[in-house]
Amino acid sequence: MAIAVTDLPLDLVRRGKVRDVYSVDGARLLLVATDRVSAFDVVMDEAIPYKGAVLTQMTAWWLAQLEGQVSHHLISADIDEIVREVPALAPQRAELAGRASLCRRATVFPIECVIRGYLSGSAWKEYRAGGTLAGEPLPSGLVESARLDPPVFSPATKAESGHDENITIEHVREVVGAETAAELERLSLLVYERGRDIAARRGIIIADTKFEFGYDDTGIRLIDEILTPDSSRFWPADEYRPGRPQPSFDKQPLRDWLDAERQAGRWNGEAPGPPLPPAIVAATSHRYLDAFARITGESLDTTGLA
Amino acid sequence: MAIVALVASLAAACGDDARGELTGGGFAAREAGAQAPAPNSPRRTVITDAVGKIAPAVVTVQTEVVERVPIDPFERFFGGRTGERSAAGIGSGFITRSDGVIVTNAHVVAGATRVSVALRDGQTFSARVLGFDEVNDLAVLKIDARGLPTARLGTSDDLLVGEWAIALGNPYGFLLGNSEPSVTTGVVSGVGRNLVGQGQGAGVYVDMIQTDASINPGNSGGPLVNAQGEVIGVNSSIYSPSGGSIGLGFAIPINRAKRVTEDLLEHGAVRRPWVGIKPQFPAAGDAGRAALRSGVVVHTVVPGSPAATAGIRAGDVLVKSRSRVLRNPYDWDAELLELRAGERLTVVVRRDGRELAVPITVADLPEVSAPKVQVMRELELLTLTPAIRTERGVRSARGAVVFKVSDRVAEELGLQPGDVIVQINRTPVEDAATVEKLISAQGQRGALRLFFERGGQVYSSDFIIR
Repeated sequence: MAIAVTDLPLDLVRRGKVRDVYSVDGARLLLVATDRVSAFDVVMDEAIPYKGAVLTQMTAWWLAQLEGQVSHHLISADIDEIVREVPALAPQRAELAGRASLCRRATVFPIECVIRGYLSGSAWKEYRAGGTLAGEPLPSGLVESARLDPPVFSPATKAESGHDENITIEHVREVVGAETAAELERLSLLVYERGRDIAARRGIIIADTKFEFGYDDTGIRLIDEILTPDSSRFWPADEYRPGRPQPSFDKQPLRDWLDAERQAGRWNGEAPGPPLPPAIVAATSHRYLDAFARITGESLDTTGLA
Repeated sequence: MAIVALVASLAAACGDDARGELTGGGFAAREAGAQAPAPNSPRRTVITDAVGKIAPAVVTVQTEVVERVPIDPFERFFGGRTGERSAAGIGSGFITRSDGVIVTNAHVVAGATRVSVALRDGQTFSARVLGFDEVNDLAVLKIDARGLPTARLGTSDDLLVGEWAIALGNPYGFLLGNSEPSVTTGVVSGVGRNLVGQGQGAGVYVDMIQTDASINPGNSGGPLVNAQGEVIGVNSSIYSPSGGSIGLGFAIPINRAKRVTEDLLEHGAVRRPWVGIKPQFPAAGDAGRAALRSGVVVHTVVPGSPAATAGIRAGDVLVKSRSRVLRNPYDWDAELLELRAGERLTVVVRRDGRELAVPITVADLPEVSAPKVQVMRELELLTLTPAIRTERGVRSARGAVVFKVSDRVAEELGLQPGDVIVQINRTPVEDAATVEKLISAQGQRGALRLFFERGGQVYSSDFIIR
């Protein structure tokens, strides 16, 4: 069963497009990745089976690969441990299994640390307009979806609603200080490059991704989801053709279907989205599971998952 | 309105000779005309309404099987027949597209040299067989016509046991000398029935709709409809040991029929979905019966198959595929019939006490996609690959699989599709191309001895090329 909304016996801190965040105590948060899905900035009514568990477990897997190289906020994404730590959650166990992660609280930097390894989306727009990315010049003659070597740190503001806005690195320095700005860039590049290499060997191009960082008294911590299909652009490597937009590894069936609905005049492109046919839901679910299986080399463990 | 247009065109086609009932509104008039009971007549029921909706789309399928028989002195002496013997067959079908696409049973048209379709008004068209699928006992025919009334296809996914089931067809229409559909009724007695066929084209039939509406050879291929006149199944007379009805009828679920029809229309053949999992069939006895309710144990995973790529292992227990709960190997067989090549499905497996969601991308069966080698124009072979070998349980490591074989070669050499040619004279067969070389090189010098594997045994056959 897919879960669209959670209702836990904890204080709700925030409901995002996809994630529900609860307060456990002064030091810890519970993040629950639901099975909600958004496309063209609209959250659909139908939930995608296994999607939440894929996001949470993929994040946990990446963090395990990065252990010792970057500190992060994850305490556990294992439901047994979470219920041991927060016994009040025992009745919701099936709903939370796989999807929930217990995390340390941190003060969040108001910056989206975007890393671009390929020229796409708003970065392609900026480059085409003025030959720059994040305000810095790039070599001329690049085509859409071209690979960027080295990858480029391209920060954005955290918008409460709507699109994040691209900002310059100079602006980041003003907000967080030069030293922290440099550290955020270093950590972002390190994690992205590691991820890009691993994914590339398994047929997935991580074109770009977005990290968030926070800090506590021990220093800077990587927070939120890491290198997931939702925080990144995943492209199928075998269909990569520079010079055009690339299909999305995970959301293409959904986007194509929605596009067709829009062109047929059955959807105006705004919320609420049209009801998704079961075949589209199943295809999208399959893509998320496939991304997980390819990247981690293991099938998603769904034991006890509702 | 489509029906009126059809009537006009039929009337035009038939000229003044059109039957009286066709004039002045045709089908519509027949349902609502002067002689029919008023719409509020107590004789009208949900059944008559459903029949009224579907009946125009039900057709009679007539076949002629011409068998070539050897011309020999005895034959000449007895009947004077010169090489042909023909037999007529009959079945039912229904129109799914207004330009003349018709669904029927494969066994109705199997081996037929001529197929014709009679519409409800008696007009007869010669039909082409666009394709047939013996595994599912379904065939798709095409007649050259336009504006035909079509059957409304429902879904077989949400059938209610106990809901009305109405079987239409033309049983014995030939004998009765008319092509009006006949109707039998009952209820949906069960769904997901697995059975071993005893009629024509026998095989294991899985996931059938069971009904107590009479289904017999004549309405085989016709529609089984619900109370709304929507097709929920294709009647199949496979379980009809006496040739008549025994209150136990079966129909192929319409969702499967839709899929097969689409494949036949798009590709001319049914794409055989391939996952590459060989389930373990539980042993007889109590333990076996218990095992029949607890999932599908994977006995073998075919190397290089989609299941292997997805990481399925022998010993895994499949518990769910898409939304189908898998209790036993028959459930898995039923699932396979609904899958399509290229489809992405998610299978939940139990392994070491954990449950895993495994995404699998269904491929085409390798035999279907493998390159074929044509030998002597009458024998089509493909090279035995590890995948085909595991899939078919072939013992030999190398050889050439017989894919198609002409009647003549089948008769003279005793070869059948599926046989694996492993040796010719003293030379082992490495692949399909070897067979061609060996036959053309050694065939000139005299007799050939062909060794082939069938059902785990090796047989031989001697022949001479003339």
